[in-house]
Amino acid sequence: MARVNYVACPSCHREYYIDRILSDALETNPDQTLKCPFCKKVFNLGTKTGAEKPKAANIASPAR
Amino acid sequence: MNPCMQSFIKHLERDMPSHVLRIKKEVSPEFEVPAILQQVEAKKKQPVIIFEKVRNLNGSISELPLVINLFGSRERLADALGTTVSKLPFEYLAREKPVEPVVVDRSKAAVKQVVQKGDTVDLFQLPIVTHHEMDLGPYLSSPSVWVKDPETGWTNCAILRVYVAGPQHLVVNFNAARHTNYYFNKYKALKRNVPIILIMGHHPAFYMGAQTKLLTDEPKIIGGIMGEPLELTPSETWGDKMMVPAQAEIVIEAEMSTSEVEIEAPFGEYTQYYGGQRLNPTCKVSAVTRKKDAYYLDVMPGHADHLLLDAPMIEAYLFDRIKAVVPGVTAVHMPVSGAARLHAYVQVKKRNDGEPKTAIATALSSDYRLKHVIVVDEDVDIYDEEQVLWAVATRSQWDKDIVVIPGMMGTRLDPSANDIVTTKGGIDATQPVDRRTFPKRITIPESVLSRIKLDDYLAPDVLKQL
Repeated sequence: MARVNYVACPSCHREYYIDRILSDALETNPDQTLKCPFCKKVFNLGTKTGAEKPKAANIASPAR
Repeated sequence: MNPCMQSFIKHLERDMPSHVLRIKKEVSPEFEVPAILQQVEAKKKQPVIIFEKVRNLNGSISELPLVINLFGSRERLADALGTTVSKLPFEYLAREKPVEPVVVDRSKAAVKQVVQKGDTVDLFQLPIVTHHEMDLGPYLSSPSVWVKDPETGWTNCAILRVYVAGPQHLVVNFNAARHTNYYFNKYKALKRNVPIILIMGHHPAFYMGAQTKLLTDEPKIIGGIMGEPLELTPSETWGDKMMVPAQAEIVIEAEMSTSEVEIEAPFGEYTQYYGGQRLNPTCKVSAVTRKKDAYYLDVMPGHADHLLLDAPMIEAYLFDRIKAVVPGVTAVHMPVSGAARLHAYVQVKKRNDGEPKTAIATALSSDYRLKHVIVVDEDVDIYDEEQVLWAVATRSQWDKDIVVIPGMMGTRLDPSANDIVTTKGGIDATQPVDRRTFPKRITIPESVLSRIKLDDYLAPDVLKQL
C-alpha cells in the first residue's frame, strides 16, 4: 500500500501530507520550508520550532 | 492559418450546439468553476463550459473568458480529427507522421497581439483555477510545456501541472515527465537553466499531437495530427532559438532552474487522489503573449477533461504493440473508470486460445501505468462497461483465465501500489476458439430489429422524454 506522511500546520493545525522523497529529505534537512495548502502559511519542522515531525501512515487514500 | 481553439468552439456552437454551455454569471476560479463542472457531470453531461465572467487572481473580472472541459468528450476529440469515436485511435495512428512546421511573421501570429515582458508580466491577470480542497493553490492545468534538447534541437511537449507561486513565478511538477527529464539533465550537465514555453489553449488536434509517445521533434507530429504544418513564430525571450505556436491563445515564456527547487503540491491528480507535497524546479517568467480576445483554457484534473485527452493516444499505442503479436486485435479502450490509464479493455477476434493472455502480457509491459487488462471477443462492445463485465461474469474462471504478475513497474500515483512497484493482472473473458463447445448468446432477429422504428409506436412527446 502507499505510504504518505502527514504533517500538521502549526498555524491552522490542519493536516496534509508530503511525499516520500520530501519526507526523506526532511530527515537530513529539518529546516526545509513547507507550505500549508489550507492557510498558505510557510513553516518548517525543524527542531528550533519544536513542531511535530511527520507521522507516517499506511493508507490507501487520504483522510479528509 | 491553423485552426485554433476558438475556431473549434465556433464550429461546436454552430454544428454541435449541445456540446457548449455558456455561463454569464460571475464566478470565482477558486473551487467554484470546478464545482459547477462537477454538478453538470452529475447529470451525465460533458459539454464544454465557457465562463464569460470569471475573477482573476487580482480579484477583478478577467478580460479573458475561461474554457473548461474542452477534452471531456470522446465524440469531440474524434470530431477534431474528422472521425468517429471507434476509429479515433486508428485515425491518430494514421496521422502520427512528421510534417515540417512553417514559420510565420509575427504580424500573422495572433498570439503576439498582446505582449507582456519583464516587469510588466502579471500572471495574476489570468483566471487561474484552484481545483480541489487540498491543492496548494492556483495551478495551470492545461499547459503544453515545450523543452528543447540542447543537443539535437528536438522539442519535447508534455502537459505538466504548474503551480502559480507569484505574478512572475512558477513551480513546474517535473518529476512526472520522462523525455523532458532526459533533456533537463542535459541542461543541468551544461550548468544552464532550461528555457521553457507553456502553451495555454489551442485546437484539440494540437493537444492530441503533443501527446505523441514518439521520441522525436514533436511539433512535427503536431502538424501531422492537425493535418497541416504547424505555424510557429519566434519567442519574445529567445527569438528563433525557441519558437512558439502562432495561433495559440496564450504563451508563457520562462526559465526553469536546474539548481533551485521549492515546495509544490499537494495537487489532485488523475487517479483522483492528491499527490503529496514535494520539491520541484522553480521558474521565472520572462514574457506572456496572447491573442487580444484570448480564451483561458483550464483542464479539470481527475475528470474526463483530463483523462480522455491522453486516452486515444495510449489506445493507439497499445493497439499497435498488441497487433504485432496478436494480429486479431480489433480495438483497445482505456475507460474513465480506470482513470483512462490503469484499465484496458481489449477486443480480439482470436485464432487460438493463447492469444488473450499474450495480449494481456504485451499490454501490461507496454505502459507502466496500466495495471488491469480484460480481453473480450468481437461481439462485446468494449465502450460499454456493462457488456465487458457481463463477459467477465460468463466467460471467465479464476483458476484458468487469470494472469497475475507481481513486482512490475507501476505508477506512484496509484495509492494501492508499493511506491513504484505494483502487481498487474488480466482476465481472459473470451469464449473458446471452438465455439461449438460454448452456448450461443441470445439475439433478436436482425431483420426485425432493423425494421422496428420507435417513432412508429410512440408519440413524439413521449419519445422525447426517452
